[in-house]
Amino acid sequence: MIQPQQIQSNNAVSKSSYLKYNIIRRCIMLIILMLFLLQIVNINILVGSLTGSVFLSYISLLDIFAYLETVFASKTFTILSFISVIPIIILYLFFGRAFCGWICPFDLLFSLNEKMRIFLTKKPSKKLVNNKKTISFLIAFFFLTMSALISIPVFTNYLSHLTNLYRAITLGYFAFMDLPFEISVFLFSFGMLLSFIVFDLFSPRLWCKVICPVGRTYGVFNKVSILTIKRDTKTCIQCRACDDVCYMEIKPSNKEAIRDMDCIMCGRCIDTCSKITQSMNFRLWRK
Amino acid sequence: MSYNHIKLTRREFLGISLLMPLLSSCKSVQTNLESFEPLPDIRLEDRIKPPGVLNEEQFRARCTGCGVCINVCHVMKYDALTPSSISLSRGISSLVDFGLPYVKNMRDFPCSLCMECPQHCPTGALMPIAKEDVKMGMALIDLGLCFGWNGDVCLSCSKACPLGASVFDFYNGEWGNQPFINERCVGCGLCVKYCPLGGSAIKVVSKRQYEKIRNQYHKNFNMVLKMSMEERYNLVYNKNLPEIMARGRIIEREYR
Repeated sequence: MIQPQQIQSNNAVSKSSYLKYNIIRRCIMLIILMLFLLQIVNINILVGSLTGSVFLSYISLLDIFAYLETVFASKTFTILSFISVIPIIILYLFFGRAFCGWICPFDLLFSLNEKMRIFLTKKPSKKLVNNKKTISFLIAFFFLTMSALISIPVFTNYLSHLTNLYRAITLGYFAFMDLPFEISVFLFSFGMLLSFIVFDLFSPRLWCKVICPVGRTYGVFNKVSILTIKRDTKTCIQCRACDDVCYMEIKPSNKEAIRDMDCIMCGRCIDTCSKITQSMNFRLWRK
Repeated sequence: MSYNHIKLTRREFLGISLLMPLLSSCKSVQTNLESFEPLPDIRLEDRIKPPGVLNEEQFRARCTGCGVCINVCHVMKYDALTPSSISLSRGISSLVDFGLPYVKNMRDFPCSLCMECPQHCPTGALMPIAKEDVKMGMALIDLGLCFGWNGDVCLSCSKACPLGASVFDFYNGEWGNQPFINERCVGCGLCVKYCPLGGSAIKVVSKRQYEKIRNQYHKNFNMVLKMSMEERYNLVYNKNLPEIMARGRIIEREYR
């Protein structure tokens, strides 16, 4: 057990490192968003959207759930699409579900919602919270079977938050520059964006926790990823501050290595812990 | 020239400047370029897909709507592609196509067959193929409007064509150098853009629709080609030329 005085001294040392990962995370998120926005002014470092893109006009990248949906919908295997998934698979074999915490721009939008949420929040029912993994897997399989049945990637083409965000941005720019575009597609994508944000106001992060099949697919990588968040049981004082700040409510305080499929690697638990003790940190596998 | 005789109060000026966008939008409705389309009997049934679509069902199944092709087209400064929407007139088939890229405005933003979008497509919805194997559609010349068929030598379409001489057959006669687009056409629509006639004399239909109307179109073509001198004179001077002259007065666009 650590004496209170010791905690005090730790706190003084680590004030500089407070919110360290949170700031790095936001910076990376904004840089990637900027790289995607630069394509509309003809600087093509990253072309496309987070569903599928081309990096430096040679390396094509494709989201894993989008790949699965196209395979289910087309019922054929193409080497072209498989080549574009490989870099993504390798990336997240290393980082786990870091896509949700470090790249997805909706994490930014949802955290902006946080302040307005106080007077609107409704607690989700207990049944949903207890079975959230089962339900979210069921939703992902539902979309896959739907796309196999009607031969269209249903989620990625119509409902995906990523597709709709970038479609709205591109078409908004096209409308501004008087280039050919369809007003109804723009309105649809924009409406979807607004509904995501309003939905998040009422039920915080329910999209990330339960519905989003993209994050669910990346979540599987948490089980095998090289990088994980680990809790040092010797220095931990069981203050449960990490449980309070966790976006995904996975209770890091009772796990040694966080291999939960819901962990988005955002590092908020590490930031909070660094205020009190430094018992949590990113660690490489088996270290 | 001075405008001193126009006296406006501030309130009137503000009112007019607020009304101007409304008025201008009304004007654009009035001109209604739809009525100046070539081949008005043929209504477009399908949307023109981007190059590299081998099989429409596979294209639908593989396209994830990621927008790489649209953005690549924008980076190349052609801006031909845009996601397609639901249209009430075509019903359920447009719902299936929702969000898939298509060439919307061939008059101003045609596909130029640079073949960049199939090369960059990450899912293989657009397959990288040779320009000659592209099957976007089929360009049809309106023989009643084309300068080449009505006593002139224009050749703008054949000069604009990215596939060049292989696509065009020329029927030299007393009525000009008459161009005819054969079935090697891939339907990119560059000829639509560079036709000097107001509203263009060329229409691009999808390959599927072309199969339906092919016989009718060829019958009409053979009829005009085999006309006697007197009949042709009547057709050109009494019917076609007044129509062409009327279209010459349309100020339709500025070249970009």
